[in-house]
Amino acid sequence: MTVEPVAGERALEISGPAGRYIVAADLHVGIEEQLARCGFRVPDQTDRNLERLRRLVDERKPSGLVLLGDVKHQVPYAERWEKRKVFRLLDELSALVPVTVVSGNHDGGIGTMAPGRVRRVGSLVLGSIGLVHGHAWPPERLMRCKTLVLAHAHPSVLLCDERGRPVTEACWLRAGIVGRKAKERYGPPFPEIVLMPAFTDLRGGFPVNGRGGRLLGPLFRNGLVDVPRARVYLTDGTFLGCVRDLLPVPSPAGRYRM
Amino acid sequence: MSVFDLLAPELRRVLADTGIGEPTEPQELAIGPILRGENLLLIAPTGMGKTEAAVIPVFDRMVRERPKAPSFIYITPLRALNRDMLRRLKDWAGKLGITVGVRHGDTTQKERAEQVRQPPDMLITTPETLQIMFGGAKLRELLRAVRWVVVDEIHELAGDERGWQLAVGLERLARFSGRDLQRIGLSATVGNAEEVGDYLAGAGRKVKLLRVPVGKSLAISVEAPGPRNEDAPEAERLRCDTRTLAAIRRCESLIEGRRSTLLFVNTRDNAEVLASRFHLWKPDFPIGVHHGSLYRDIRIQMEDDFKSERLRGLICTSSLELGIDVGTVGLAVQYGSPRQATRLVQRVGRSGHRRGLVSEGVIIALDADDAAEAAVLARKAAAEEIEPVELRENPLGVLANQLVASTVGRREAELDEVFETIRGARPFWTLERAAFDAVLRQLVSLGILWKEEGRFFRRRGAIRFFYENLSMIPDEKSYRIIDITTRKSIGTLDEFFIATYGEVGVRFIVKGASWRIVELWEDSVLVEPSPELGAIPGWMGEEIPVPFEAAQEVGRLRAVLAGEAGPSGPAPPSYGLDADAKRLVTDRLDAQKSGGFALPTDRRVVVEPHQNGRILVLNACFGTKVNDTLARLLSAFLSARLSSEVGIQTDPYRVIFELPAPVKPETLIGHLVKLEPEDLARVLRVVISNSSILKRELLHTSRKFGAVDKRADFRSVSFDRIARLYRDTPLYEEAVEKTLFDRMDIPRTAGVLRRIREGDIEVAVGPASPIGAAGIQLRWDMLATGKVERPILLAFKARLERSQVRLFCLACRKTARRQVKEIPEHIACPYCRGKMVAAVPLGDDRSLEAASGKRAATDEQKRVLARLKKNANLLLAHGKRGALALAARGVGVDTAARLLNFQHETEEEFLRSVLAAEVQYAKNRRFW
Repeated sequence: MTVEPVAGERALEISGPAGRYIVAADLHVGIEEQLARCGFRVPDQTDRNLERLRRLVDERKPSGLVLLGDVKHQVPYAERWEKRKVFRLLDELSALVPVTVVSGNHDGGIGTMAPGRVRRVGSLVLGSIGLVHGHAWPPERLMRCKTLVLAHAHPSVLLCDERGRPVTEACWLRAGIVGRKAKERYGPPFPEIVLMPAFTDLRGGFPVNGRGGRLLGPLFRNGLVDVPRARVYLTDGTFLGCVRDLLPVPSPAGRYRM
Repeated sequence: MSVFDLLAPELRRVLADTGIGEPTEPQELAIGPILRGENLLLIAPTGMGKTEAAVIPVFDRMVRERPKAPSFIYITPLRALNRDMLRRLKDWAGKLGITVGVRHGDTTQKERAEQVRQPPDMLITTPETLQIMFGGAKLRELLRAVRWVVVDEIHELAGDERGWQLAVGLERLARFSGRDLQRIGLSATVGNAEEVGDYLAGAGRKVKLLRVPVGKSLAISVEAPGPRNEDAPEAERLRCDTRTLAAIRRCESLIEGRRSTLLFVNTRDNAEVLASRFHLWKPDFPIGVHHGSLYRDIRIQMEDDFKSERLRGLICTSSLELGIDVGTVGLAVQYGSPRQATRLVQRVGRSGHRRGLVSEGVIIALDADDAAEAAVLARKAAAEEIEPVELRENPLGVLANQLVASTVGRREAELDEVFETIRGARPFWTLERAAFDAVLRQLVSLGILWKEEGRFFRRRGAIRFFYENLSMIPDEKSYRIIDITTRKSIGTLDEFFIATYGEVGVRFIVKGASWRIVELWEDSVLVEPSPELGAIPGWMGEEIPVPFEAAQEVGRLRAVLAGEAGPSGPAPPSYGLDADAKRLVTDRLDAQKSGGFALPTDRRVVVEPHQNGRILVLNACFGTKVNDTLARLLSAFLSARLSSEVGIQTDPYRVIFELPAPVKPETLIGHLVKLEPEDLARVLRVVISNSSILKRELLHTSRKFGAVDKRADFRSVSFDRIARLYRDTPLYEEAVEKTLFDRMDIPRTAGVLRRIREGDIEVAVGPASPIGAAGIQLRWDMLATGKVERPILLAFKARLERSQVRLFCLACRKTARRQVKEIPEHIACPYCRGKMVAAVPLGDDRSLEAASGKRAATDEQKRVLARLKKNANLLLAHGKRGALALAARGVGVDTAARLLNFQHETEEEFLRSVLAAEVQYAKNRRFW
């Protein structure tokens, strides 16, 4: 099975004997409401997200679409209109292609807003590839896969020009596992980690080159993923080298800019 | 027979009692038409009873007809003017049985309630309060009674969003009251009466224009007191130069010679600087200071002290330009050029406030450009060549505001009706239904309005949005900058800077030093000194632009004084320069001439390299906006060429570029003449798309559209990210249009470029001259920056430089491992010093194996060797760039050769093309 991002889009294509799948993570449907509470009104993004996913399905003709967690945003109870948005999104997508939702930490109660034909799972294995949202410890069998795809952390990279003016860009991360740390919990061999950027561009990311703070999720928090030597790719395919070679930026502890 | 004879007898009696016996010229002209019910724009000098010219005939009709209150609304741009107006009218209106009330932001709740219960016949108010009155259920009903509207100081309103909002407000008022209101506009200075008349009247209505000439009642002279050497120690003590001290000394003697003098300056900073120097120099001298950033109580105290002559002089900004009553003013002094004839007329008009008196003004010029400009403006003021008030067609921010406004009073509104009403206002005459619908759609998508067939409604939050965004004047919060090492406040940052760059770790420059953000608090920013250079934040400017025509005339004046103007031309107009001022101007011209330097005039542009070509000065007499436009366009080209930021600085007579590396004047001229006049708007849109001026405007426009709340917390959300969502929406368009309208001047810049092409303006190159040098200051704005891709390119380049390659010598066939950045510009084999060395990516060991044999045996080996030879040739020919290109992913020797053979002017362009090749590879072949 091959695992490769779709250049220019924040989605992953997995293909091989087990079929062809498109994976997108962290849609955060309904994030507009939280932004509005912070004082920013943005147009409803559901149609745009639908359009982007529909185009991927049209172009790549996958046998399945995987939404790798955090389809919706509100925790824990979704408001009525948010339920409607989630239902519409899943309904329209599942009419085109079989849809699997791998639950994330924001997806509590998503069962009530998904049409029956949408499959819901806690984790997924496609051939040699494991997929899990990444907010909790992955089950053992996923750690035995060749590649483990994670989301949840919304990785981004913060780059500065000569005058210190910053830009933040969403990015992909390919990393190895630190065996010494992983052994405390799992047995070898260990998978290669692929960390996905969030599909929504409304959600800023946590800088992978942040000094101090660690990326979200137990694998990162406990140092199982070798972030310093992880390779960083922008979503258009620009390869930036290893995390440790990027200038470290001060990471605002606990501050998460959307 | 006087026009007063037309008035009701009781009104005539009251006028006589009040001391208004004979009509003034404006009154003589205006009373008749107003009595006949005509719409009227009255332009007349200050102090000739303009207000009464409008009020007397309206009162006459009120006395005769006793209409339901409030029948008369009087709108001024300032609360202070409202209070004055009330004082001025209350007594004699009372004698006529006409009640007068003021309603604006400062009105107490009690008064407001009283006004609803028992409305005054005449209501004095501001444009914003008029908007609010549509909102309240009872208030709104009162508005049905309105029959007459006066807009005072109309020139202050007609040219900006505040006034355009009012124009729509008047249309709504007319539709709501169901009758055509009689509209009267008043002003002392209007350049383009027809347009302002249209603004006042709205679509399809007639308006009478009356003008009482102001020019002949003005006497303006230009002085430039010469510095005295013996002043040096005193100037030292005051921390100013001797010329400033000479100017202060002259101001003092002018003030001494009169009972009362207003001393106008152009900015609040200047007011404070001048006042502090005055106080330090002569602590007991009775002079005060007055500007918009002072508390209201202090301002009123100053006004009262000046009126009672406890203060002989008052240093003020445009705060006292409008008709606020400060008693009799003997003289108006303008410190430094007033920059516009309109300002000069307004300011000088403040003196000699009594019938028949000439208004006397003195401009104290501070340097040669200043003196020439002052002379030109004084001539223009006397000749009544007043700058036109410029209207922007279809300001969508105002449209958004008024769409919401039309739902505030009664929740829902009819689409067609609102469209027709808005189209009635002058700024929206050409509004197309498609644009109207697009704005409505955006407000719907933002959740502020709701649309149904033919109607729209307000949604939750719309009312708060409306009241928060009532004022069309941009209002930015500022953050205090606190140095954590000393815990002292070092200045303020505008909200805009926080919104776009407010991240911990960002560096910026304030007070000439570089700082790094350590923490962001609710209303302050904690910083520490940083050794590395930072960005210049830029604050809200309040500098008044010098018009193109005035700057051109300064150029012409230079030519005339230098004896360059041909004898055939029209006789040069006379300018009111005194001997000192004239000497100041001619000395500069003589220095230019005797050094053999080309003279920049209205028809000659001179480009000069200064400081070994690190600074280029483009001497151009085109005024503030055209020079700003040129600066942005040219610096964008230069910084692309140099792949680094270019500092720019402009004044009305120069554009100055600070360059990271020397650039030939011819290069700059090359860019200048290549600019297509017809293409300017398109190019400028691209150039400003990432600029901080546009980002700032986007922030303001987002507020006007309700996309960003007053209480928005920029610490948790990056505004840049949000702003991207608005591309291709009316909101974004409006921000672009407003930026281009407010800050740039496309038509005149295009005109200049055409004249250059036709040879009407000569472009010359010359060595560093006195005129060129005069504009170079120490402060630089980094304006032409902010390309999003630059940080990415830098990180990309760093990755290429870090990547490992194996060097392979085609002569001795030995290999050596190196990082790309260790490869020298002129490569040689570390063992045999051979020049043919290839750089092979670390993973590609197969080709090295194939090539390691002494002789190429197989076809495969021959092919590999040929490729290595090509590789080595690229390194030989292109040095470091060759190595960089070969290190890129998916870029083989052939692609590298193609990239390298293309003539990239700068490293940035080169890197961009290598990156593009990599991204292409990622897209079509393998992502990773």
